[in-house]
Order: sequence, then structure tokens, then C-alpha cells
Amino acid sequence: MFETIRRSINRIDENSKKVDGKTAHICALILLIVSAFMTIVNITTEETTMAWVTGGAAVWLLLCEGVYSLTKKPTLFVMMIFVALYGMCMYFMINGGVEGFSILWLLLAPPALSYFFGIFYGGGFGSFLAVSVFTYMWTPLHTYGYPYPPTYIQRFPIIYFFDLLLCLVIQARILEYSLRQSELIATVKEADRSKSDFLANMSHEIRTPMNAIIGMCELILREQRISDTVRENCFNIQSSGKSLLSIINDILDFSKIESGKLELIESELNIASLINDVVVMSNTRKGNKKIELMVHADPMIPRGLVGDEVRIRQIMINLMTNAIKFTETGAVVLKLSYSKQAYGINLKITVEDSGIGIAEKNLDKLFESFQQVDTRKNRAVEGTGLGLAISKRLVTQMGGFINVSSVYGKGSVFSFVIPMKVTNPEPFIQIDNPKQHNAVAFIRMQKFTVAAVEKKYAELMREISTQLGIRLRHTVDFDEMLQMLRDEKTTHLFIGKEEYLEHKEQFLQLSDTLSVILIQDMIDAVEVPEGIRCIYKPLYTMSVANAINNKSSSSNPGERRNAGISFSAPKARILIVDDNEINLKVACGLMRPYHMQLLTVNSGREAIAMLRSKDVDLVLMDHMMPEMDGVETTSLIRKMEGEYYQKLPIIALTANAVSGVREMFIASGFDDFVAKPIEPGLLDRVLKTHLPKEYLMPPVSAPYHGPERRAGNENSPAPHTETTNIAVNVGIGYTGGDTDAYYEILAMYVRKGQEKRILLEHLVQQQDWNTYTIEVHALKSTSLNIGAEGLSAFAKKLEMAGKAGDHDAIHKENHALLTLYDTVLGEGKMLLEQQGIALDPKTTGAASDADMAPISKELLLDACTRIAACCESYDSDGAAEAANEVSKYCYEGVSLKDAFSRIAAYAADFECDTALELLRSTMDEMHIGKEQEA
Amino acid sequence: MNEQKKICITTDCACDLPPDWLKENNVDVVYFYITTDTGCFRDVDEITARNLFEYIGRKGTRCVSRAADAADFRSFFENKLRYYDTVIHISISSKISDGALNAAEGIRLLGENSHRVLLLDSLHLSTGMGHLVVRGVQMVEQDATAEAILEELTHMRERISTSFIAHNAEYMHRSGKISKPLAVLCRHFRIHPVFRIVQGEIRMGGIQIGDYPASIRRYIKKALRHTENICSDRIFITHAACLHTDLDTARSTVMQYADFQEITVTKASATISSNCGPRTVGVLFVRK
Repeated sequence: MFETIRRSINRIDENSKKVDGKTAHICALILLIVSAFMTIVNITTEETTMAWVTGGAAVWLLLCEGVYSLTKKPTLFVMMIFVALYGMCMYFMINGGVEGFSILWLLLAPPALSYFFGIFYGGGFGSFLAVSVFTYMWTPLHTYGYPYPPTYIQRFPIIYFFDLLLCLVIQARILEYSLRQSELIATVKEADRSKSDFLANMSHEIRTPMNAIIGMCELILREQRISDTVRENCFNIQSSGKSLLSIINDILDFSKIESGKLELIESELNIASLINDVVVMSNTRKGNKKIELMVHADPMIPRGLVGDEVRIRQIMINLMTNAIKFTETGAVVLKLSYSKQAYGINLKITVEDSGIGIAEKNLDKLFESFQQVDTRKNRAVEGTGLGLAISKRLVTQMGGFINVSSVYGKGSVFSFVIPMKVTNPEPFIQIDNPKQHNAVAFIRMQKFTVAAVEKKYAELMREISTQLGIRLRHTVDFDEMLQMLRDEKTTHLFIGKEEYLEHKEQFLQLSDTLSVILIQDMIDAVEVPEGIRCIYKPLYTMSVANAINNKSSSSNPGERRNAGISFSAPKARILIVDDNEINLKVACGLMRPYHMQLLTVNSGREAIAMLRSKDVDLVLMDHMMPEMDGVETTSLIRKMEGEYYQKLPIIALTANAVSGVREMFIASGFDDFVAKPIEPGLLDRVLKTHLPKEYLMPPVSAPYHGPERRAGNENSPAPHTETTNIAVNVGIGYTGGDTDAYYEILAMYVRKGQEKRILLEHLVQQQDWNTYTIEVHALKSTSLNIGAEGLSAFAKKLEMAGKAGDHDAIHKENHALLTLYDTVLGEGKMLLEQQGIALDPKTTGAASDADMAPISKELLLDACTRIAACCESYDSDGAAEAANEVSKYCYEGVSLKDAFSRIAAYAADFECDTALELLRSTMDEMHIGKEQEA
Repeated sequence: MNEQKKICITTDCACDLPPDWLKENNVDVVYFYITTDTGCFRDVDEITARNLFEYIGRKGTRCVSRAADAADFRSFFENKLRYYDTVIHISISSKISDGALNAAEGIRLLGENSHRVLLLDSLHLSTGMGHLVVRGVQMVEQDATAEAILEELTHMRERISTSFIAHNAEYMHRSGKISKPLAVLCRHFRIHPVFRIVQGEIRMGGIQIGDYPASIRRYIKKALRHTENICSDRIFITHAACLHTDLDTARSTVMQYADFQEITVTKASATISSNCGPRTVGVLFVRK
């Protein structure tokens, strides 16, 4: 018991010593009421003295209230209350009150005090009162007051003492539990944060290599000279990689949503593009399944809407993926409709399928996380169970609602509706002069094995006709079709693939007089001659409208955006700030397809100077730069006078894209950020968001060549030599496919390499860890840009060590890093030589002979002996390494670089005999080794 | 439905009839609206009762429901009159909602075509008015005249029994139908209020105390007293986000005490549900 009190007293922190004004207020109020009541009772019972005491206490308490309302000091308030309380208690004890019973009020003091004022103040005052009680009762003082019976005198103080003790123990326990609870809450919060950080970091660590796997597969698939088996296997690897990436993204999204960290990024969205992306994905996911994909899109949906396009797409893809997963035959229908509201519209998106359906009892738990219903039956169906949970949370965050209805065994309907603002009320699909168009559709419905699909197609045709306002007649018979064409002047003829194959010649003839449009699947599409146009399924208002308007179908994958380039902006001026020349080169290369005017500077200071003299429309700012980093530069820009500098869009470029970094940049004055290596699609989105709308024009770049184009890909890049440490095709990928830009970057990398290498060594010797960390950080991204992933990873490791202050690790590993760096530089040089790109020795940045360290004769002889031994035993790596080491020195004022670099190059090429021969002749020229022989 | 038919039946979305049935029988509905802090959503089409309860549970605030305004009704009727000679619109009770009033105003705004739209105040809600819609559709298929349909339905509404039992009185209190002390009492003592529609108004129709499934059984048993006076064609069991166990109890109890040819379980719209709360279930049928 005493131990509990002692422990609690030790743990009394500042919070426990604080007085809650509100609680004190309540206590004062209660005392006031009691005093007032007692005063009235005493007056009525003619207890005049008692009435004066209780009345006085009531007046005193009123005074306390007045003082508190003026001063707002709870501690003073409490002290004044204690004065009143003490006075009353003492009076009751000394006077005895009504036949001595008033002393019993003192027993209420400890519990009341500890309840209202806590263990510190309550316990303190209660103890003070206890001392008064003992002093009064157990000394001759009590003889001056009320004549209590001897048993009262002896026992009352003891009873009071235990009363006080009990209250203190109870309060101590309560305090202990409260403190434990606070600790628990703090632990849980910390665990939650750690979990979020862990997930973010792990996802980042997993996504980086996953992106590499998927990216490399993409590059392989672009190659022409690979067998079908390799192509198929590669495609499967890529698909699996994308599935895994999708799962990781789902987990990360879910975690973000649960912790309330997922932000919606609202911007003007392109509804046509949204539908197109979902349709293309759905077609891919559908594969060879006998499912008919259909789209019903109300053409009157406003063209300009505001929303988070990425997240809306994500929800649609989730629902479509589920529908396709759980449907073996029949149809999956995507519907888009809207209702006008005062604030804009409610956009409603429905996905209906003819799949296995869901039992009613399972509908309730469908949107809960990690739930898959009917798991035994659906064992073959993959999934984490997060898709619908994420979709629901996203829809809720957008202010909308999501619903499902289903009939078990027949199919399901998922729908969601979200409120959206309208920026452009024009319909997103419009036919030019609808009344002038007269169309016929020759598509046999009977080929659809499921009757419901046949019915849906018929409904779709009617809807297209009504919504577009064009006349569309449908027939399943060839002769009837010909009759229709004779009866009325027809402008467009839509035909199915089977129908086309049966009557190819006739349709080709008909194409002379009217527009013949073939509707077919993307997967097993047939080639069509010139004169007949093609649109890909799913058939819907937009594809028909585009065909009638003579625009290419937006569902044609061959005409999709080129690697994320969705616009050009010739009038836009962009300032790119990066201390690293290679990064600047990469950024410029990626920006080239936009045809913008580019300005580049190498530091924050130069950026500020540039902005003082020239106006730009957007700034791409590297984060980590020496002297003045991106954050500091942006902060200074924002402080410059003029509204222009406040509104200028500044986008951060950073290689450290971990959780929370976006918020950090936004708080620092940036408008957005792009992670390095720069992903072209993301860059496109960010540029489009922040550039003035009036500058955006249609893209000028060449069509995108995706993996669907299997043959005759004249524009695919020629094969490149890969080396042990440089994955050239990966590097080319980072320049947006621009080979020339890649080799320029590589040349720059090699030219600057030696200088950087020496700098790193120097920094370690000087123990300048800050600068060292910045330099390896730069080495990490520049190496990745040329495809030297191993070196990049190594540099990253040392960057982390630098940040963590682990200097021992840097000491241990720096040599290995530099050795690898040398190898990469050597390989880079070889690649450039193969491409016929010469390095200007004047601009290599290499150290001059005078700067090279001299080597003694003994050491040189020792090294040469080692090189010879390696060559004789055909240890190419050993020979090359040793020769490279020697090439850094000079002997008797003469640089050993040229000679020993050549020896290293021959050894690296497994030409050890030639290397040995060259070594011997070099030794002869320098007259080393002959004294020994002699 | 045959496009040559001259009469069509329309109603409010608060009729709570199954969407498939409405679509098959070409019965178009006028949507009521539920307003949240993010938008205004069409009842049944864009927001359901379940959505509403989740929203209220999450936000702790009440949603506002309102009927379509006169302009909405006018454009709705104009559209229907392109294809039909006469429209009979069956509205929710005018004593419960402004729907009937707005519909009347909408008809007035049609001007010279206003005589082609006939309005019937159902004096009921939910599938109570649903029974009228079903009967109206049957009569249209039998080529009855508009006046005959209107007359029959006017008499029929007095024979419809609309009642429901609520799990608690919270939502009824929020919509002003019940006082706070009563709502508190119901919560503490597990009292489940029963409401009936009497002459178009919602009135207390008794209470049940204790376990909710048992209360449902007792409520239905009481409602289905004197089955000899009940038309055995159809009964609707309409619920607002009930548990499956509640629905199973209701269905089995109905089957135990009466012999209906068709027992149709339907979901209440958000408009109706916002007044009675989750786990409310009602049995709605026609007396002879």
C-alpha cells in the first residue's frame, strides 16, 4: 500500500500537478450549494452561530468565483477553496456542530478532495487536515472545544487517517492506470507509424527492382530477333511482375488510406482517356476468355470534369478486374452516366457482369478488407481481397457512395457515384452534323453464345443510335444489308470480323462509295486493306463517334500516347536546376518531346540569378545540391518580391521518394515532386498539371510502339552491347528511348568519372562526410541513368552509411566502390569506342600528369610482377585490376595512364598474352626489371 | 410493355418496389434526393439505405431528404407524355412528404397538357404505395381506362395495411416523429416501437419489448390477425438494412401465419430509411 503511494508520488509529473479549472469550479459550486443549504437549515433551526459560519463560507466561495473569473488562475482558485474548506472543517471539529455530529463531515474531505483535485493537491490538503485533526484531538487543545466523548477523541483521528490512506491508494492506482494507458497509446501510435514507414520503405525497396524487371521485359519484348517462346515467357514474366506490383501498390494504398494519409489530387480529367485506359486494360486482362466487353457511355457527360483521375481509374480497374475474374462466359458491361446537380454533376459508373454472382448473405462483408467470399469455390481466383476495400474507401474519400447488387449464379452489378465539378459543360462525345449520317450495322448477334450478350448488344446498338442522334439500321443478313444500302443513301457501314472475312471483296468494293468500318477484337485482329477502317472492341459511342468524325479510334493501341507524352508546349519556358551535368542531360532528354524552351543552371544561386533576369513558366529543381540545396533555393525564391515568384510552379526532383516526402516538399514551398529516375508518364502528368493551360497543344511525338506490335517494328532500337556492369537498354529507357541522348550522357559520365573518383577518395581521406554523402548520392543517380545498377546500389549503400554516420562502413567499402567505379568507367569508355564516340582528352576532367601521385621503382616493379603473374595464369580480372591501379600513378614524371590502361583493357578482354607482351615492352622502355634479371 | 398502350403508371422512388420489376413493367420513378456534406444524390439510383446509415454512422450528422421539385416533375411528365396519352402518377402520402404537392405543381406547370396527368395521393409510403402501383400496372395491361384505374386505386388505398417495427426510436426521434425522452426510454428498456400509417400519417401502432427477432415475430403475428380478411395475392416484406436473421425470421413468420401466393422481400429506399433507422422491417399487404 505504501509502496503504491510512494511509486505514484515518484511518477507525479507536471500534468498531475496541474489543476483543472473546470473541476475546481464544480467543487466550488457544490460547496457553495451545500453552504447555502446549511445556512438556511441553521437559520430555520435557530443555530445562529452555525448559520454565520456556513453563510460566511458561502460568501467566501462566491468571492472565490469572482477572483477566478477575473484572474483565470486555477491554482489561486483552488487555494482559496481550500481556505474555505479548512475553515469549515475546523469549525465543525472544534464546535461540534449539531450534537457533535458535524465532525463526521471531515470524513468526506479525503475522498472529495482526491476526486476533485487529484493525488497531489487533494492528497496534500487531506494530509494537512489530518495533521490538524491529530493535533487537535490528541493534545489538550480539544478541551477548549466541544466535549466529545473519550472514544471520539481516541478513535476519530485513526479513522480519519485510514480514510485518507484509502483515498490516496485509490487515487494512486487510478493515476498508475492512467499513465499506463498513455504509454500504451503512445506505443500503439509509434507502432502504427513504424508500420507505415516500414510499408512505405519496403514498398519502395520492392517496387524499385520490380520496375526494373518489368522495364527490362518491356525492352526485350521490343526486340525483333527473339523467338516466340522467349517472347511468350518474357510476357508472362512481365504480367506476373505487374500483378505483384499491383498487389504491393494495393497494400501501400490500403495502409495509407487506413492511416488517413492518402491524398486525392484533383485536376481536370479527360473522361475519354479514362475510359480508354480502362478499356485497354480490360481487354488485356480478358485475354482469351470468351467474354464480350461492352461500354455504354452517355455522350452528354461534360467534357471537362475535376477529380483525381488516377484514383478513379484505379477504382474502375478494380471493378473491371473483378468482373472479368469471376466471369467465364457472357459479358462485362461498363456504363457511365451522370445527373446534373447545382455544383456540377454526379458521375455514376457501373460494372455489370454475367459471372458467378454473390450470395446475398455475403454482400455485407464484400467491402471489408482481406475478404474474398466463397473462398472454397473461388480458390482458383487470385486476389488479396483488398481491391474492393480500397475502392470503397477511395469513393468515400471522394464524397461518393459504392454499391453492389447480385444474383447468385447469374451475375453482379457494382456501381459507384461521385460528385464532381464541371469545368467544360460541352459533351465529351459529339458527332459533327449527326443528321447527315446514315449508318448500317451488319453484325450477326447469333454468334454470341450467351443469349444475354445478344440482347445487350442489340440494346447497345439502339443506345448508340439514340445518343449520337444518327440513324443506325441493323441487320444480320448480307442480302438484307445490300438492300438497305440500295434503299437509302448510307454514309457508314459497320461490320463484324466474321462478316468481313466472308465477303472481303464486296466490302472492299463498297468502300469506294461509303465508309466501311470493321469492328474487331484487339487480340486476334486481321489486317485490313487501305479503304477499310478498323475500330477495336468494345464498341461504344466514343469509338463510333470517332469513326464517323473520321478520327482514328482512341481504342487503337498503336495510336496511344507515346511513352506518356500527351501534349506539347512550344511556348513554355522551363528552368531545370541540377548540379549534376548528367542529370541535367537526362532531364533535357525527357523534356525534348514536349518541344519546350529549356534553360539549365547548375546551382541554386544560378537559378535565383536566372529568375531575376528571365521569366519562366515552370522550374524543375533538384533537391540535393551542395552549398544551397533545392529546399533552401525554393524558400529564397518564394521570398522574392512579386506575385510571380509566389505563383511560379516549382517541381522538386529527388531520388529519395519515401513516404512523407511529398508533404515535406509542399511544406517547403514546392508545388509537386517527381522521383528520380524520372518516369516519363509521371513527368507528363505533373507538367500538364502545373503548366498554364493555354500553352498545352497536341503532342508532336511519334506513335508509341508497345508490346502488342509483334512484327515489322521498324522503329525499335538496334541491339546494343551490354557489358558486365552497364545495362545499356535500361539506361536508354531512362532517356525515354533516346539513344543519342543516352550516349551523350554516358560520354559525360566517363569524362567526369576520373575527377569524381579522385574526389571521393580525397573526401574520405579528409573525412568530409557531408560532402562525401552528397557525392555518392549523385553517383547513385548518375550511375543508374547509364544503366550501371550495381554501382548505383553500392553508392546508395554508402550514401545511407553516410547519413547514418557509419564512417567505419565507408572506410571499409569505399575502396571496393572505387574499384567498381573504375570498372564501370572502363566499360563505359569501351561502349563509347564501339559507337565511335571519342572522348576529348582535354575535357575528360582527368587529372593532369602533374597531379598524379608518383610511384617508387620498387612498388612499380612489384605491381608489374603481379600483373605478369596474373596474365600468365590467365587471371584477367586480377591483371586488369592491378593494371588499373598502376595507371593512376606517374613514374619519373611520366604518366603511366596510357600504357597501363591499355594493358588493363587487353586483360579485361581476355587477351592476357597481348597484355603480357605489352607489359614487358613497357617495362623495357622504363628500364625496370632488368637489374633483377641481370 | 406494348408501346401502343395509352396509359402509363409512374411513381416516386419511395415506392420501394424491386428495380427489376419496375424496369420490366416500364414504371418510371421520380427520384427523391438525399443531401450530404459532399453532394446531393438521387435516392435508390445513387444512394441506398445502407450508404445512408454508413454515412450517418461515420459523420454523426443527419442527412436531409427532399422530394423532387415542381420543375423536376414537370420535365419528367413532359418526357412521359411524348410516348403516352395519359400518365397516372402515384405519390407518397402528402402528409408525410412534399412529393404530392410538388407533383401537383409540376402538373400545373404543364399548362394545356396538365389534364393528361392524373395524380393519386397514395396516403401510404414504401410498398404500401407499391401495392397501388402493382395493381395499376395490372389494370393497364387489362386495358382499363384511366378513370377506372384511378377510382379503383383510390378505394384500394383504404384497404392497404402499412406498418413497420423499428429496432429503436433514434431515427424517428431525429425526424421529429417521437420525443427524446421516449426515444431514450426505448433504448434503455429494449422497446421496439411499431408504427402504422393511418389516413396518410405515421402513428404509433404499439410496442414490442425484448429480443428483437422475437419482437418481429410478435409484431407480424399481430399484423396478420384475421387472415380471412387479407388478400392472399401478395405481401411485401420491406426492410432497411436488416440482418439476414431478421429477414429469415420475418419470412418464416409470415409463412407460418398466412398463406400468400407471393412473398416479396424488398429494400427500403434511403428516404424511407432515414426516418425509421436500420433494422426496421415492415409487412405491407392489402385487406379484402
